[in-house]
Amino acid sequence: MRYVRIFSLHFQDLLAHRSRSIVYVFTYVFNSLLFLAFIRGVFSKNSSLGGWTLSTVTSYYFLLILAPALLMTHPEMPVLRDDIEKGELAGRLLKPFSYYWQRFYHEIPYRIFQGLLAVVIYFSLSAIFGNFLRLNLSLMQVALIIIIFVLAYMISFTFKMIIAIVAFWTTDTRGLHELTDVIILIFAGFIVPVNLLPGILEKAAYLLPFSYIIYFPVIAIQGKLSVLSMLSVISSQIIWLCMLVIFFRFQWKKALIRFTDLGH
Amino acid sequence: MIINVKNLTKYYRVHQKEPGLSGSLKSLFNRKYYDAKAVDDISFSIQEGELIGFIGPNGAGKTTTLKCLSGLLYPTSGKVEVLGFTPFNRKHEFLKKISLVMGQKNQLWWDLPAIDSFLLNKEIYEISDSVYKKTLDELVELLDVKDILQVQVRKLSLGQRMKCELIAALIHNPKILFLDEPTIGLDVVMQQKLRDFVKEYNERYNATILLTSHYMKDVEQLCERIIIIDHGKILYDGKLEDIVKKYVKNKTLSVIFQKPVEKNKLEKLGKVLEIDGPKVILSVPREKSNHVASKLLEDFSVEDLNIEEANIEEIIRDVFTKKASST
Repeated sequence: MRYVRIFSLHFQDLLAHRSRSIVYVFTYVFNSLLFLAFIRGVFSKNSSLGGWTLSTVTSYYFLLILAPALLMTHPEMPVLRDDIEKGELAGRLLKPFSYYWQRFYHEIPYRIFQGLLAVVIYFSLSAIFGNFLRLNLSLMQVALIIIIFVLAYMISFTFKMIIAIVAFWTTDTRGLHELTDVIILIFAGFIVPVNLLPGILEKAAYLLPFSYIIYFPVIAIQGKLSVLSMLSVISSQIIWLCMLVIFFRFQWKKALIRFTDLGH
Repeated sequence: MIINVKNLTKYYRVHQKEPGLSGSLKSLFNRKYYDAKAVDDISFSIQEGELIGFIGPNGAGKTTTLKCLSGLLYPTSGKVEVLGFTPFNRKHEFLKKISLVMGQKNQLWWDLPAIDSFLLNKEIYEISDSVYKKTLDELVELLDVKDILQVQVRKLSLGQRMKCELIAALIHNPKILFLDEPTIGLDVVMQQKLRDFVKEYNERYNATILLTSHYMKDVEQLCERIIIIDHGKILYDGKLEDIVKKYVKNKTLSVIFQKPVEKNKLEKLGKVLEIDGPKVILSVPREKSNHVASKLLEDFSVEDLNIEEANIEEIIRDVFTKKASST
């Protein structure tokens, strides 16, 4: 119950400035529809490409509104703005509650709220343009999809926390955040589905953790993954999550020794 | 002893850049650093229930010391023990027993009423409902903030916000409270209210309080013991009243005679600092001040006489500038 109450209080904080979340969701909408507009041009000359049809690729981009709203975490922004620049980190470090989980509870209401908004937008678009998603999933697949989403969230969050605490070494990490966003845009499957990326980029995408945050969860909903493939995705996600957590913990220990809180 | 500090040292690695564009370009390839000594080999102990003032100019090492004691900073060397814990390990049992309040920082949610931040701390510190209610009621009464608990924090005045910050910091009943410039930026009325509260909190809960402040009134009114720190070193650690005895050998007697008195007669009694008609200021050894005062009253027609202790702020300023011994 303690954690539910902590979540509930953070949710109240989010509701106090909800308009920010609404704007964020619309950036996903415009990004996704823009990429869809380009790729529809490609499909006007090919009925099928890399296992994708116009219908499946449209549902993919519609789901790209929902997936990042739920799974693309952004703890790096408040870490830089509030904790580093405003100096609120000192207060957080002296709480008997780990910094990682403090930031986790701050972030999760945003994902849920933006996810709910994205669901509304998704169904609105489906009502206007037609429903391109044909759900024919077994109970087992639904259970595995939930696991894939939870792990995707945790990978996304831990990766962004690693990026966030680079601020202990270089004061201004905005450039790094933008670079990370561009890399994620390519390798998570935002521009085109990962299997349509050109040769080396496709191979790199499967080697990096980003496709496990967006691409695989989306194609899992689309029913493009068998139970066996889903289990393989979950295994890779667990490996990535373990590696990221170990790296985060190592980096965090180093960061705390470096921490000076000077000028605050 | 509740706090034990032995040979604590904290250095900061600071980047040094030569001025101008050439300096910027040089620092791209050959960055120069130096170690700034924030705290330099200090030792002291503190007993439970003490209320201690840390005094020093900007950059003296006061806040760095508090941050090392609270576990925020990793010491370069030395040993720190607080409540039997090594602060930097930041064990949850330790963090539940301390609190650090920094006057210029806030932990309250900006867009929500302060009560929501208190509730968050209740959950984070795992405080039971009954203890939370009792502590909150007491703190609200002491600080007189009942009417503002439901108001968005960003709509509160600085003083009201500081009061709510104190509640957030104290809601878990810490045994040790580190206060870093708690009255900074507050008007004189609010400063006094906060001082009264700190005193009351110390007495009511037997809490150990370490306070840093630039306002001497904070220290004079609250602290029996002070630690004067400058350039990372402790210059004085002892009772506030003793600093006067240690550093100020003389007292000042301001006298107004009924008619002007010859200077040479007065010089037999003490050093004449100023003479302006019937108004005279004498400096006399502090142990002789009463005797000299009665002698003046016996031998001269005196209209008014005052024995003045040196101003504490001036004494401390003298300690910093090492002029005290020549007073």
